Amino acid sequence: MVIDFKCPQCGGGMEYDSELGKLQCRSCQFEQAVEDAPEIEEEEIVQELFDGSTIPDESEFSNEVEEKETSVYEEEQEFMCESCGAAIVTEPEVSATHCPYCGSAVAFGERLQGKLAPDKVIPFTVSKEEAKAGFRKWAKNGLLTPKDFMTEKRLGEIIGIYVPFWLYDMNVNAEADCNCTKKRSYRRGDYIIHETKYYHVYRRANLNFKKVPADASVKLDDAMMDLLEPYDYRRLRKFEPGYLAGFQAEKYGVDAEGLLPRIKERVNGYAQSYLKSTIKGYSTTTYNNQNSVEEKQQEYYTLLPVWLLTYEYKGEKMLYAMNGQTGKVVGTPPVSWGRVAKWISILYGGSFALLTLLAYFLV
Amino acid sequence: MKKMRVCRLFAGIGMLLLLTVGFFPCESVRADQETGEVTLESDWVTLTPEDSEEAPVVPEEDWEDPYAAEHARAAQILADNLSATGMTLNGEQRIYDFYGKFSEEEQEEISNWIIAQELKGNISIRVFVAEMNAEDEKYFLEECTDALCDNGYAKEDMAIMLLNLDAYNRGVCIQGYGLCEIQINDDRIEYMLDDIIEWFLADDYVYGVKLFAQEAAYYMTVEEMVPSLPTDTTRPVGGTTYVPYYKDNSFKGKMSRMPWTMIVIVPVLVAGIGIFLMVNNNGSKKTTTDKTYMENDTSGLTAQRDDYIRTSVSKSYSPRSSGSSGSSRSSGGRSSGGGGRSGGGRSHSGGSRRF
Repeated sequence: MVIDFKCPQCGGGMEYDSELGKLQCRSCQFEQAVEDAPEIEEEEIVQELFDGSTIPDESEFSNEVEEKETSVYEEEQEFMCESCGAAIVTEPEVSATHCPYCGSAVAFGERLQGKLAPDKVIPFTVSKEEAKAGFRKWAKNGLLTPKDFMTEKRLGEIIGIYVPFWLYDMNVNAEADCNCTKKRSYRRGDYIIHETKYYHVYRRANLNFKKVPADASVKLDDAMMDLLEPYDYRRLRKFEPGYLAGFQAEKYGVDAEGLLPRIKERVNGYAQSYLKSTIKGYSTTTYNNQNSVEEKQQEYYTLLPVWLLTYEYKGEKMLYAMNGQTGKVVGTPPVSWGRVAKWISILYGGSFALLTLLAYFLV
Repeated sequence: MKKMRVCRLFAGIGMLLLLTVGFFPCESVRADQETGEVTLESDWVTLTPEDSEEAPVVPEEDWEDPYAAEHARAAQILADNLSATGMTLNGEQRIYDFYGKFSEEEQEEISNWIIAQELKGNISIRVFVAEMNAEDEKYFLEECTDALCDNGYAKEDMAIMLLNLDAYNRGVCIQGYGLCEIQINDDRIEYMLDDIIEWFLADDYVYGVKLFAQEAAYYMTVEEMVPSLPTDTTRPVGGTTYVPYYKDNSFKGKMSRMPWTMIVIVPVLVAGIGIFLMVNNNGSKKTTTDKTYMENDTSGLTAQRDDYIRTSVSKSYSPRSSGSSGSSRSSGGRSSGGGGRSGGGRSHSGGSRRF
């Protein structure tokens, strides 16, 4: 089932506007609240499931067939654009996109319902123009970044995408047991007294971490997505398909359980550093034992806004990402050897001149 | 645009090179020292007696020596040393090595060096190497000066140094007579001692002695910071005290010996490390902390114990030092000696230090 976002007034295509926080018609500027936009209708889903045309009914196939069918499903799928009737072929993880023929925003109901229904979403607050300006400014601020990097032409290719994340509420019970010393030295007559006091130190903490994110997209690099953090959760909204209008969206590729080990490791690190911060006033600390039990309390399937830019610079393809809410840019910009040479000469010349002057005035 | 930048860069480097080559009197002399060549620098200003507003103090007729006993003892030390080594004072010799510290080649090297420096400063420079008690040093040099100057073996404008190599009294004493008393005043002698002592401590006696001669000649040419007229005559015996020009000069000694290689290599390191850091930081940084996702209201310690177990005590013997900082150099603390007046009535500046 394809959801398209049609203007109730003129029938034109509507898109989510990050400034208004509403859907706006591209033709007549009509504004519509996200909640009023088309919903995924349960009946239609059931109907399509019954047809078996889009998602195979698992019970009817033997394991072998099921595997085969699933793999077909994983490759690509065809949808029909409700605006122009063209067939939209998409990669399996895409849950919202533009029709390549008529440009209208479409969302795919099957990939947004049931187990795949997102709980929450943070809508884009950085518009496409702001994102372009952000990338340009970031490139300009780089001390070693070439001048011709981030040209207007290439910047036109940025894509606003809702990346699937799992947000976890975690409870951690952590303990640390260690031996600590306090050292001091003082003089008594002709002797220096070295005094070492030994302590046995124990700490236990119960810590709650709220909405620790982990990206569930298979395609995007985990480390890159981690660097995009933090998102401001005050703008976390209940998911409505209308938010996706005009952007791309992906469905999760790894489920909540699959990402749990990564999150456990992460909150364990947080807990240990918290405990460490409570052991103060000692000269040395030696850990005997560090334990922690991490428990998942709740998870939220959430779509977070990211501007993605694949940039080809001198034959090398690079991926840059921007937090669609805060504007933080992530990625390694290319290094301009001309600029490196410039900085080397500045640093060398500067320190050479300084030393020379110093030597001259002090001789 | 690009061309202009390149031009500017080259112009800058050119200027820097000029700066470094042009303004290194000490450095250029040192370069000579390595090749063994002695050349006169054109930028050295020689000072003639007419340049000085105050004529050097000449021996007075009615001069009564309050340290006659000390001077007699010092004269005896000089005589003993001369007879023991078979040397006689003369107008040619620059270094009198009674101790036998330097080989003949080294003595020749030092002498040649001193002669060159004497020309630069238009003064006499003499060096004595001997063994004696620390309290005799000052009077010994005064006696040597009288003996040299009375016989015309040296100019009245003389910088003289004693290297005392007595096992228990190792030290250096420097005095300046005539014009040298003004130019190489007590404060400057302190600076010279700062520099020279380091080389003696490093066991490079030849270079230390040469540095003394070099700095003595150098100070003869530096007018700034020397008051033209003595303004204070509170010095107990003879001589004059000058308004001290205390200026933080603690780097001076090091800088004058700053090797060329350092001026070249340090900027290479600065540039290298700087670029390394810039290239390394060329990417995105983490902006979350351990506390970003923690809910402060419901998180915290549930148990904590800090149990004291025991105390261990050890002690090490370290006698209280008697205030002096040993052989470490101290620009602030005045060393013993200072100026005075020789038995022959010659007023002088001076300073000495143990090492």
